[in-house]
This record gives sequence, structure tokens and C-alpha cells, in this order.
Amino acid sequence: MVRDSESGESRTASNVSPQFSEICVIVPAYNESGAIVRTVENIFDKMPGCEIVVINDGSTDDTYQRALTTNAQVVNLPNNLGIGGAVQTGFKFAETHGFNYAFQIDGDGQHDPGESVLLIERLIQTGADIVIGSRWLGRGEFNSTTSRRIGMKALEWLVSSKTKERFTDTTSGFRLFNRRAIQQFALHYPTDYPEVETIVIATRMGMKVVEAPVKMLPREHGKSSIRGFRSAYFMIRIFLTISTNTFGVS
Amino acid sequence: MSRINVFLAITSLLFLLVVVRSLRQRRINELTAILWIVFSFALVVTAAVLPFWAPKPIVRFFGIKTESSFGTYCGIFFLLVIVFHITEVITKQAVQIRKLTQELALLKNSNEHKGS
Repeated sequence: MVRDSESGESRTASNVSPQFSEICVIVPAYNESGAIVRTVENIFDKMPGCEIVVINDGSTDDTYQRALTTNAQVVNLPNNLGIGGAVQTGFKFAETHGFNYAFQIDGDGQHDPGESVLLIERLIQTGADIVIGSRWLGRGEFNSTTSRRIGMKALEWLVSSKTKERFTDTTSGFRLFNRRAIQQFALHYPTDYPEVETIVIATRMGMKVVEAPVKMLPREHGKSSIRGFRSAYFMIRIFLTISTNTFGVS
Repeated sequence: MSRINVFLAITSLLFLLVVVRSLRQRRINELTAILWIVFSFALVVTAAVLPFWAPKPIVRFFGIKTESSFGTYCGIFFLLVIVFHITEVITKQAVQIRKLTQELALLKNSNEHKGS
């Protein structure tokens, strides 16, 4: 099922959930060959009728070939652009194909697509432009290292002080965006580590950003890209960017 | 005029000629060329003019003791300017490459979808 970019109508919109058919699920994937097929199948299972677009971010393994075996749309970036570039490509796809909503779900299988309903409900209830799935709002338990939790608390303080609103999970990659947010982020989106920055950017642009409690699953395959020295670089960069208001948008 | 000044003046002049030649052959763009021309011209002035004539207020202000140390300072400063300019160019090109990569991937996806 693909939406017509001009008319905005679904080409095969029959017998699909009207809610999910309006949603484009963006799955950024870098070297996720072990998890990508299961992630896509899981999304189709829990969100029947939605459009899934896998953004293969220049993977060096067979993520692209594996993603092609699914029914998802696969956009193959010839170079590794990083998570920001990959997700923005998804926004461009959703914007061009006229989708009203876009989900961001990581390709590592950590997000349960079954929880998407919670985010949709929250978006409708609050009239928000962006809903972030938070693992720290009481649904289930998520194990994390002490240093990671300290880092997340620091980011929570930074973002909350800048936006004057409380955000508990600023690094969550499980998010729902409405059409306004899709259009905005298709044009401008941070380059590196965009999750934290986008909350501040969206709030500054007058968009309403809220959180919804979700469960986060442990990684099935691979390792987080933010570990070791990179986590120190990540923290310094985020603090520098947000505290000086110099967002790495393009 | 010391030997080091003669050497600096000759190499700076040669460098200026290389920059002008590169510009004429379109191997560097105008903006970069302007920076390099200013840089090499400043080196020539530092090496060949300052030893004979330097306004006393400027000498006092900068605390210039030897022309070669002033030349080194000028060289480092202009190199910093040029490196900063190149950083700006690289940043701009990174944004352009990102856009091109995205557009290419989306176009390929669109064409493959039409073909299937």
C-alpha cells in the first residue's frame, strides 16, 4: 500500500484499519540484519494496514537484502548518514506520500509496536504534535546501567529547563508525529543524536510535545551505538548544542 | 635585510605566483584564492617591507622584536583563518551531500516501486 503523493489517497486502502492506514512507520536501520525482519513483521502484525519504510542507513551487513524480503518499503541510503539523516529520509518519504502520521520505531526490536495504540490515544487526547514513548513513566521495568541513568537524568534536567516542561525519556526513539511535525522535520532535522534536540526544537517552533508510558524491550541483536567514549562525546555535544541554541539542523 | 628575510620574501613571491596560476587554471575557486592571495601578499610584506620600513606605533603596539617572529605570527593567524574557512565549506558540503544522498535513495525507491 502506497499513498498517492498528489491525491493523498491510498492505492490499496480497502480492508485496512483507517487509523493505521494513515500512518507511516519509519524504521531506521544500521547493521540490524539480525532483527530487521522480525521487527518489520512485528509491526505489520500489531499495526495492520500501516505503511512501513525501512531506511537502510548504509549498513555494511545484509540488512538491506533482508529488509527487501519483507513487505516494507525499503529506502537504501548509499552512505551512512547517521540516525538523524536516516530518520529525516523517513520524514521526507512520509511527507511526499501524504501521510498524516509517522511513527519512529528503531530497527533493533526494542520497541513494542503493540504499544503504538497508547501513543495514538495520547496524541488524540492531548492534541499534541509529537508523542514520545517513555520507559520511565511506570509501565514495566527497563534495566539500564547507572552511568546511563545518570546521563539520562542530566538530559532530562537540561531539556526540561529549556522547555519549561518535564520530559522523562529524552532519548527515546519510539515516537509519533502528526502531519505538521512531519512537514517540519522533512525540511529541518538535527544531524547527530537528534532525539534530545528535536524536543527543544519542536517546543521552540510552538509544537506540543507530550510523553506516553511504554514498555521497552531488551535489544535482540547488536549493540547500542552510544557506548564508551561515544557516550561522553554524546553528552558534551548535546549540552553544547542545547545550551548555546546552535542546533545542528540541515 | 637578513638571509631569512630574503628566503621568506622569495618563497612568498613564488607561492603568490602558484596561487595566481591555480586560479587562472580554475583549480581553486575565487573565494579560496582571495584568502590565499591575501595570505601570501601578507607574507611578502612581512618579509620584504617590514625590515626596511615599519611604522613605529605598529611596532610598539605588537611588541615586534624581530621580523621573522612577526612573520610567523601572521602565518599562523592566516592559516587559522583559512582552516576555519575550509571547515565552513566542509560543513556546507556535508549538508549538501546528506540532501543528495536522501534524494537519490528516495528517487531509487520511487523508481523501483514504479517498475514493480
